Amino acid sequence: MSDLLGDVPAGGLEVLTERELEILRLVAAGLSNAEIAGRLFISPLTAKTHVSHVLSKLQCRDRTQLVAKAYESGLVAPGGRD
Amino acid sequence: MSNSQTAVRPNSEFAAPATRERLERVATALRENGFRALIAADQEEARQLVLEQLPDGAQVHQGASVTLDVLGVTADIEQSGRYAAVRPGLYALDRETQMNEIRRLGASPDYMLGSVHAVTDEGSLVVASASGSQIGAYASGAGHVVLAVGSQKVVTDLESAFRRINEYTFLLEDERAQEAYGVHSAIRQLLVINGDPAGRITVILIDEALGF
Repeated sequence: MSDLLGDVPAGGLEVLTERELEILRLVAAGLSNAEIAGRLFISPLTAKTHVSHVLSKLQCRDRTQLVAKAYESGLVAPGGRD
Repeated sequence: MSNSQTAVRPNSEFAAPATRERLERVATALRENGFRALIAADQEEARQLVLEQLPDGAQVHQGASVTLDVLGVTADIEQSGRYAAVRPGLYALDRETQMNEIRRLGASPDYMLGSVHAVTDEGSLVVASASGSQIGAYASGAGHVVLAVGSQKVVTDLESAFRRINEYTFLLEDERAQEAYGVHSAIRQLLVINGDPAGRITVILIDEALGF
């Protein structure tokens, strides 16, 4: 799990909390809300709330845009799945 | 199990927060014992996870809990109007003439909120109490129990749990009781919950040191 908490790149993600960055990395890895909840020991509703906050803060329409944003910002790199 | 009043400093060994990895192992152990276990990254997430467990309009009671106060849950329950809070009603009753009603209301709420004083690596919960007011609801009286637990409360085993209560929790609670009520506290009742096959109890481990 520690690989999810590494250095935070800039790229417009400064508005996110550490937890929201963690959520964004998992969204970019293709995980559903339920899978994120399972991975982080939180409830699916809380996972959904976090994803909603990330969508809102980054002004993205959907998860696809979030994934693109995660790669563009350098938060995750191609082939660098956790 | 001493509860004598001595000028002993709390054992700081029991103030150190557990690592995230250890919390995950404890959550897994709790789940294996039948509890529902979640991990909150911080206080805000902990508050959200606690409130998620409570349907609107639910009858909710809570014991005195520094953890719940700090999280803001006490205010959410008693001031938001979203819930049927039990505690304000209890405080309004006359302890001389309405003790039976106080006892019944406090013992069997639909939802009981609180914390514990230790959680072991094997997934057991330990609660100490001077009055025992929360013990019955935790053990079986409440329909559902939601416990918010700071990460510094993780200990290796039951022996360490009892040491934590004697050497750390009691000293801080005694100080709080003297300030709040003008009386000393005491370890008069202990509850150990090793498992929850009925699935009544949700434990929210918080990845921060919180409460005592």
